[in-house]
Amino acid sequence: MSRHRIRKMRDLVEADLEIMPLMNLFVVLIPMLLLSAVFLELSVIHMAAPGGDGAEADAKESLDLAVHITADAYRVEGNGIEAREFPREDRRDVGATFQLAAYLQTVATDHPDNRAVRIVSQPTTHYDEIIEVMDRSREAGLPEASLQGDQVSH
Amino acid sequence: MRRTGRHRRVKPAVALKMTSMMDILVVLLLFLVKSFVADEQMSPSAGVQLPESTAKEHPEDSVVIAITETSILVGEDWVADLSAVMASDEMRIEKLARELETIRAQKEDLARIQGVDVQLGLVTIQGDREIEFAVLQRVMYTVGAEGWDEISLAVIRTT
Repeated sequence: MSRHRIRKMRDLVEADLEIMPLMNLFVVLIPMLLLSAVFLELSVIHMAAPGGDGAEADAKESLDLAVHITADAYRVEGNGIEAREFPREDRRDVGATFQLAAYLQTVATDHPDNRAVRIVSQPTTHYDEIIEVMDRSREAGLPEASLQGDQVSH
Repeated sequence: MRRTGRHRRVKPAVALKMTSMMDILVVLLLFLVKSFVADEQMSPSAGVQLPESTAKEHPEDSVVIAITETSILVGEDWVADLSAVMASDEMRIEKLARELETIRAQKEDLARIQGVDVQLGLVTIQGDREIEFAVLQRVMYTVGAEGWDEISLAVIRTT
């Protein structure tokens, strides 16, 4: 092979890919996608606004399951079920939450027609505690949660 | 000694190594394309740390009421101070009610122009995880009293 031909071959092998147009595309696409990216995915929990009188009338005849959230315990009450209290050390007591979830599961299994639960909170109950109890109720098979205050001051 | 042009070193042409950067960009691009959602998403309001939940329902287009640790906002607009709301014995939050009345009037006007029945739709409450139930109760009471009968609570989805 002649020297001239070898040099020509080397030039061919060392030729770079023309990646600038691709880079330009990436530089435009990445900021656009970064701006529209959703890093925190939101969900919602649907519920009826307070003030329905019909629900209260029905409650007298049905199970009327209620979970009371107090500063030191969860208390489950209802017509025809054993009232139970699950003491908790603080608002992030996972043990008490598990016990509550297990009992709600038992109640939901024994009363398959009932899908409703009243969550009765103190004025000082934190929002995340209420969401936690709503989650446990929904997972136990009680998706229709309604909120109620323990000391309503109109 | 003076250097002549013959002895001056010729700088070699430096070619940028683009391969590694291209690799990063391709991975980043794929990740972003995967997480891209064409629908307009609801985003948490500034100053609100939403609670986490296992709820799976997607948010819908709605009136958003944000409750931070210090104030109540409708959309992006400040409506009331939380301290003032809690200082009052009234369950109804007057300033929030007025803001909701304005929104309601706008929806009614729009429905009249379009010749359809007015539909108030949903109210989504974005409450900070640290707010107390007394605040939430007042907000929900006001929303219900203003004629909205569907409320959803926004949360951050966990797996």
